[in-house]
Amino acid sequence: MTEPLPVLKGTLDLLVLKALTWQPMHGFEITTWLEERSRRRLALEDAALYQALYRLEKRRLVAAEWGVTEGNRRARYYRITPAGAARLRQQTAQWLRYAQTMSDLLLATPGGTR
Amino acid sequence: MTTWRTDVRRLLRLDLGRGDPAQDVRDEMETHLALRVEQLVRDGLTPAAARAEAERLFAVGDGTLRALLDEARSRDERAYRRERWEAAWQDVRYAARRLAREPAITAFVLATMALGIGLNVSAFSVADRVLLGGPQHVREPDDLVRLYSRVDHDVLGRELQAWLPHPVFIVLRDGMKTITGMAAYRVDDAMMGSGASSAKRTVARMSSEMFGLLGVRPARGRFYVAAEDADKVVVLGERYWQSELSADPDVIGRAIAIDDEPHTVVGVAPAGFTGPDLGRVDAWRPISVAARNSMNMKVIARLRAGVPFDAAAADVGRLRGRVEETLPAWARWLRGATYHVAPLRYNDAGREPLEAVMARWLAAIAALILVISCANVANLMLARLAQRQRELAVRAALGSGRGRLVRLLGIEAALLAAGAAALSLVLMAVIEPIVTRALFPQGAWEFRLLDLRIIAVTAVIALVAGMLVSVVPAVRAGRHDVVDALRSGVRSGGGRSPLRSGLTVVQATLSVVLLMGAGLFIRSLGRVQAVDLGMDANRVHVVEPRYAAAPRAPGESFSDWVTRRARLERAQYAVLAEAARRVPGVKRAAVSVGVPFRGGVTQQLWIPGRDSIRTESGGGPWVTAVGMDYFATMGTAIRAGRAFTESDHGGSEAVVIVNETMARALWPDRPALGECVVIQDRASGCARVVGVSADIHRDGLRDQPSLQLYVPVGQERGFSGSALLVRFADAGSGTAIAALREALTAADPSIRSIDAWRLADGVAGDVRPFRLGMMAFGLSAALALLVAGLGLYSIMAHAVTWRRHEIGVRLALGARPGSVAFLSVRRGLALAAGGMTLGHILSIGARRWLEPQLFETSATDPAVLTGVTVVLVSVAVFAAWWPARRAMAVNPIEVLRAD
Repeated sequence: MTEPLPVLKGTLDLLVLKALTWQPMHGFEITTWLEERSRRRLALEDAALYQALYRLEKRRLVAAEWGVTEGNRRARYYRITPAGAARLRQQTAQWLRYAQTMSDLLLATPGGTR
Repeated sequence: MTTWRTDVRRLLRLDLGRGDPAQDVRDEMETHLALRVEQLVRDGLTPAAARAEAERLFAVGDGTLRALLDEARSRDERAYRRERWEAAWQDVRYAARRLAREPAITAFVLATMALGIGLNVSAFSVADRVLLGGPQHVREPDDLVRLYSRVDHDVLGRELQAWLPHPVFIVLRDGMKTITGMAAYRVDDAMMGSGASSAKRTVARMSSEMFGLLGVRPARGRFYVAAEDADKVVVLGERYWQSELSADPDVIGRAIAIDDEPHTVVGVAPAGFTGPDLGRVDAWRPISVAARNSMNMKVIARLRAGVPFDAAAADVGRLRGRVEETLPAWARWLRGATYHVAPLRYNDAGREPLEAVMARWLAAIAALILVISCANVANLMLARLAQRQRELAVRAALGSGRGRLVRLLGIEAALLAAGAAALSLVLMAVIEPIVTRALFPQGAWEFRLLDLRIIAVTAVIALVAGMLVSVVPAVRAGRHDVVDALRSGVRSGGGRSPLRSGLTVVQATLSVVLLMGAGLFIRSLGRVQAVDLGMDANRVHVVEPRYAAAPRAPGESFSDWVTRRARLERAQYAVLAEAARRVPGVKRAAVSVGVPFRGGVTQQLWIPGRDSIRTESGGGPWVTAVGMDYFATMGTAIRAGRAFTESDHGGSEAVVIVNETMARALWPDRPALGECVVIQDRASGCARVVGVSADIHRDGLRDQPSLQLYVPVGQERGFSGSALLVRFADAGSGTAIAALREALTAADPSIRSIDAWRLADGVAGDVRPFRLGMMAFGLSAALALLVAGLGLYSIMAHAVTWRRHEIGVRLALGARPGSVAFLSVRRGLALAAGGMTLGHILSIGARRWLEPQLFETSATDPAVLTGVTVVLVSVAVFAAWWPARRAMAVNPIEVLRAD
């Protein structure tokens, strides 16, 4: 297993929003969701995740409510707001274009005309 | 466990309380770590190692924790605030919806409150002008004082009077140490303009220092200065400039005739400027040299900053000796007068003017009406609250505290108050001019609706009204035992509250008193207008042209000059009367030396063979010289004998016409015709009585009978001053008068200006108090009645709601709906009857004070009593019947099933 990639600045918010499109989750569920989906290729700092969640909540991109976990623990459940969903759509499109451009540039070979 | 409660609370939008953000963050982290540890243990780590790994993964450090805490705290703060706002907004929407559900009642409440608020703001604006703020454009009016003199005289009494001779003004001005300046003025009538368009206007003479003293700035041009004190310059009033000169932008430098002398316009005063007094002034001109030496002036001074009133009074008091030393020639005239100061708003007699007294009364009545209307609105809200008893009880049971209920009611009240305030500002635009014009017709200040002070006062009054409206229901809602209410529904609980009933009786009483006032004044006004003046005052105009002066020719003796002038005047007026008769719309015209309402001439009278003659309380004998056609023009009847004809003139036999009172007083036992009287000059011969005319009111409405005699023009001795009397076919329209003015100036180009007034204007001042009383009482009575009707309505609506169950049972037992409604109406009538009785007792008590204000009307006038009773009973029946309809509509099955 290779060394996990550090999460690029600004992408964590996007990933959290994406995770919440599945269903409302508490913090630990989001972490495990990201870890499993990324096949543990991303190095996530838990504290950073919570900072991102609070930040998103402040901007009203996610909303939070207290609830109870399966193991009967008190946990804060986050869900994506309509504003969050809109932000996710817009940012996703932007990221995909960016990534495409990056790979085009990096894979370009001399003489190649793609 | 607690979540369902939270949810219900949230559902009902109740307070969720406020959590601790730090604890929340710790809880959340703890959950996270615990779950992580479980995960790691599942992966094969020991619990201790798992814990260490979980903490490492979380990167728990001081910095991280603090960052998270800060973030959480600010997030929480916002969320809390947002929630509060949302809750408040929800409450507002909820209240608005509830108000909108009963549009008729809401509109009624809004209208009542708006009227109450509007009336109070009007009262404030009047009081502000009359009592507090001083005339418009006057800077720091509290530092301004009026100066008075007082002569202690056995006969004339000790009245203060505002008129000081100009030289005294100079001595006081130079002698006072406590003032920064002193200025003099007087306001008079003068003819402005020339020829046919001239008219009598209010023109002030004012020393140039006054403008600076008051602190006013010109709207156009400049004010005149001290160096121009003897010049023919004039500053125009803004309204005159607007209406008579069509706001001519090039007015500066134009010449305007004042009393036939051209004056150069140097400036225009700002809109609403009235000088030191409150009445409209059309123009200001300097105090001319002639005026300085003789004329009495009113005097204003500005106190030095910080000088108390008493110091100024002592200062001017000390100057008595100085005045007498400096003006020895005036000693006899001054008669040892002392000098005094009083506030600017005081009148010529050194007392609070009538306007100030009325402003206080207006403010008191307005405040009373506002308080009562607020109490009524509160009652109405209370009645509606009762209808919501169950809902409120459920809310309370779910933990909605008293504070919450109070807040809901408060928001409703605030909404009503805000709406009413906005509405009142609109109403103000209508009410204010009416109030001002009705109570202060001479007031000329400009009312500015969008004045900051007015808006601030409106807001404050609305706030007070809103609080009054919300406090009573809130207290009662808070006090009510909600559990009881929930258990028993709305069946129990008292529908009758002595407080509410008492309030309704008080309102009815107030309405009765005000209605009585209005009725009595309406009656007086009717009687005043029905008074037979003995002449057709509405159709007859008095026309007084002014001619260029006819000075004494060199070498002409005084008596020759007088004779020449009299002859000239007679010739001039003969031409005018002839010209006037040819104007379309004019029916008749006659010359008269002496006109009613203008004082008059009394002369000595002898009757051969008698030592003295009996006079009447109205004095006399008053002598008027009248031309041919005079009696027909005036519409004064000739009771016996004949009127004067063309053959009665200066050279014919001396004849007189006497009025009925004189005929009765002097010859009680035989006809006056043919009797002989000797007028003024004992050596002159007999004048034969040829006619007896009807009595006229020569002095006003409350005229006393007097001896009056008429001689033909040309036979008068010792008095002069002709006027033209013109009788129009109708009341004399503006165009007819304009045509008359044109015709007269065309007939005699030497006419400089023309003053024309309707004879009825002579009694306008006598009619005004009744009109004013009618307006003031009528306005407040209408408002009080509206308010009382609302009060009665709310109390009856309340009762019907409380007794729904009882009514349902009655109906179920076979009571007819009509008899159920009658119960409600009967109660309303009982309350009205209480008010009626108290109101009548009060009115009878006020009789001694009231009757002198009325015109030949008893304070217990039966027609007024009947009218007031009918009005009040109608309002009471209507206000009680409306909720009674609801009582009739009660469905007994529904009511009984509800339990």
